[in-house]
Amino acid sequence: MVSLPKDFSFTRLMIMIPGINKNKEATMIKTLDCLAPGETGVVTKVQGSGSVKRRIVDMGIVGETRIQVQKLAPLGDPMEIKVKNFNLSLRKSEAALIEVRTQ
Amino acid sequence: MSARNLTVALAGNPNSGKTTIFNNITGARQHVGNYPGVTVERREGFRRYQGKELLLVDLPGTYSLTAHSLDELVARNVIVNEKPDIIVNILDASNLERNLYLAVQLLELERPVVLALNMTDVAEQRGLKINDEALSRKMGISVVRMVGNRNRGTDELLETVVVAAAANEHAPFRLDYGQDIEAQITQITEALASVTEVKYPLRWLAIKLLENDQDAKTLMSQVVGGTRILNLVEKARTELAVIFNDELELVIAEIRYRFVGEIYRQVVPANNDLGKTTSDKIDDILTHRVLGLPIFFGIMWLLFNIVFTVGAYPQDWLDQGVGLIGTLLGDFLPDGELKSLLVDGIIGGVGSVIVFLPNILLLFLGIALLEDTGYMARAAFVIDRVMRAVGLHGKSFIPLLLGFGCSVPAIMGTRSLENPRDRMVTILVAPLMSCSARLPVYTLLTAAFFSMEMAGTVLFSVYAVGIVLAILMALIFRKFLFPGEAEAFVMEMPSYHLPTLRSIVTHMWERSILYLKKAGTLILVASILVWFATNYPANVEYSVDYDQEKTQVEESFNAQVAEQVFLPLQIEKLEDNEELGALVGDIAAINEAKDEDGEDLDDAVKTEQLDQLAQANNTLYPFALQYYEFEQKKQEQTDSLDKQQAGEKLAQSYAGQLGKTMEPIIRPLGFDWKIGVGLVSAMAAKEVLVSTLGTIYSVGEVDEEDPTSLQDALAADPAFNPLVAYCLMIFTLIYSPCLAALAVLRRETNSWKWTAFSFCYSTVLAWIVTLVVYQVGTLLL
Repeated sequence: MVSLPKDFSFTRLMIMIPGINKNKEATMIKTLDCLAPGETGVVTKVQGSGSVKRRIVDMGIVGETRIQVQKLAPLGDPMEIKVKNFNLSLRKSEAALIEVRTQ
Repeated sequence: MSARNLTVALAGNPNSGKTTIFNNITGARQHVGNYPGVTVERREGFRRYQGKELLLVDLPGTYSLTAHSLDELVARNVIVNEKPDIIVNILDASNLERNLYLAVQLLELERPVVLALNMTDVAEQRGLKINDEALSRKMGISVVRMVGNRNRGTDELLETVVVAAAANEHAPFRLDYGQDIEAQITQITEALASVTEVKYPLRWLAIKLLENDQDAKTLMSQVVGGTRILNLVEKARTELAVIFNDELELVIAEIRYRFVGEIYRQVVPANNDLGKTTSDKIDDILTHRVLGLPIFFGIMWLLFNIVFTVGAYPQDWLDQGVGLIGTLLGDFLPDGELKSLLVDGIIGGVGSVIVFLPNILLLFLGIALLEDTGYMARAAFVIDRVMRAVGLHGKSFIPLLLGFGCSVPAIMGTRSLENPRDRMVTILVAPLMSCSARLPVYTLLTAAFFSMEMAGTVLFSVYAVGIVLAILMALIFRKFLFPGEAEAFVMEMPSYHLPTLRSIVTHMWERSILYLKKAGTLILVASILVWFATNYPANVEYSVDYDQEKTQVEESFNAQVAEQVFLPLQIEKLEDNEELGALVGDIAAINEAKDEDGEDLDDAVKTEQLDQLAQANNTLYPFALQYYEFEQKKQEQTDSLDKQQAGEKLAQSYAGQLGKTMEPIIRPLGFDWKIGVGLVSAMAAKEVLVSTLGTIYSVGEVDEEDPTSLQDALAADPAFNPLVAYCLMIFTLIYSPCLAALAVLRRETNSWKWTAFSFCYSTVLAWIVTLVVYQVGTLLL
């Protein structure tokens, strides 16, 4: 019996089936680390557990929060984002915990 | 609260300007200490206002009040245990929404709160129009507008505080968590009411328990009836988990943010909260994808240079000043134990600490500037990738860089690391960055045993070994000593702003005084110990009767002079013939004259001047010259005897005995007892190794810049060869940080255990690495 990965989401799976979203605007769900500088996303879910997640949430990154990626550090990591009128930097591994939808 | 005295706690996000406001209110009437048992600063101050005496407590800046960090725990415990009359929540108006998240948590602690809307100038500049009346209404508490770094709004704040305290009402604030959660909260609150001994607000505690707050749970497990409550909470959490399909702790946090978001939208008209600010424009350059790193290194280079190169000047003056005091005392006091203790032991030892003060001041000036302007966060941002690869954090870079100058400021610089694990690893690894005190040791040994061409490579290899070991140890420590999930890098990048002169100077001053106090006391004790160990036992059996030898030299001089100078001139002593005395003085002056650089004059120049003198006084000159030469010879012989005596004394002192006892342990490293003594005394300060070796090898005082005499003595010693010299360098690099560094380590970690650990691990590591180098070296060569 195959067990599903912890962060499995049917919505994610459905989007991958071509044609399924014909009637709605194409809604992409990605994780924050996949966004490029300048792109904006709205948080759908914060994954993970423990103090990293807590810290992310304490900073105000919760469902329906708008995030814009400002830039990447010179060496490619960490990334700087803008959220709720302030700037936050976080490692890509941490950004990977944040699911966002882009329009 | 008495009618006259009020306790006011200041709480707020980091970078909200809390401390500036604190300083505005209390001015000089403040002091810094530590909360008992932890390295969290407690800053308190006083202010008289309208006949009342206000005690202000500046709580650590926090984003939340969970049990996940020490700062947060300390902040909330102060509020719960000390029950301040008023909590002033300083809010950064330019990112109000996030700041309100803490505000609601403070209100849930059910103490009177006043909101201080700070940085309103920045908010206005960004087009954020905050309706503070609406805010006040919705939160149920007073709101005061302020601009902390222009000292605006301070009086209004104090007025509001006093009024609010007098009214002694706190709007019963209640954040509705929704039906399901509220039901559970009610149940748990009721259950808690029957448990005595609980001094927390019940509703708050119930919420915390639902949030799985570790501190709250521990509390419950320790009170009577607590287990029942914990079981109740577990049941509640399981039920709620099913409903919400997510960790309850995060659901609650989300609900709080939703609540706060609602208030925010009603209080601030819609505007682009993702707009580009002035700080962003500055960052376009400073953290530019390509320019960012060079700019970063440039700034680091500047910091390093200011601290160590510019600092070298006042450091020199202090050094001379201390030396002067030593000499004055030396002349003033009669010879003996007390004088030796004071001059050699105390002034020597403590002086070495005071001498660091300019560097420390400059260091903290630099760091305060970087922190207060906001650049520090950018620095960590830019270099984090590199640091992470070696198991460290972006903020570890500056402390480690400073370690190349001196471990003391390096260890003190780790304060910028919030996360205790990253901080400890950085502290433990910092001394491996070869400090500048070790340089004299390297230069001496390299010059004595390696050719000029090799010297550069040898030196570089020592530094490289240090860096490689630091990386290795960082990885090992991180993995085994401080394991666990990687700490979050998630870090706010505060807006750039111009710091106030006062805050910078305060930062600089406080930290420096602490350094003086703590390092100073330990060094004082240690200096006395080292002095004692190297000077006692005092009654040493010498191989030669030095006193007798010296008398003989004196007598021989007298005899020679009497025969060759006095007899022909028919005088009995030098004073009898003034001209002769003057001539001798002149000859001495010419021979010892130094030019403006402090170098000896050219021989040619000297000869010319002497010839002139000879021609002017051709009868007396030959005799004066003779006298001078005899005197010089006597001086040399006496000096040489003195040095030999000192060498023997040291050899038989406790330190020397310790060295001899140590010998078997350090033999496998190629070291003998003399090196052992040097290593022991170098514990006080690394550069002492050179002067101790000087004494042991009986060459007297060693000039660091020109240690030829010691070089020759070492090269002549059969126990020393290039391999041993290299091993000694490696050992000096790795083994225990000097006493000043240990003292500061103790202070910064607040733990003898880690101080001892640092000493032990580094010494053992030094032993192992040197052993390998020596044994492999002997095999290969």
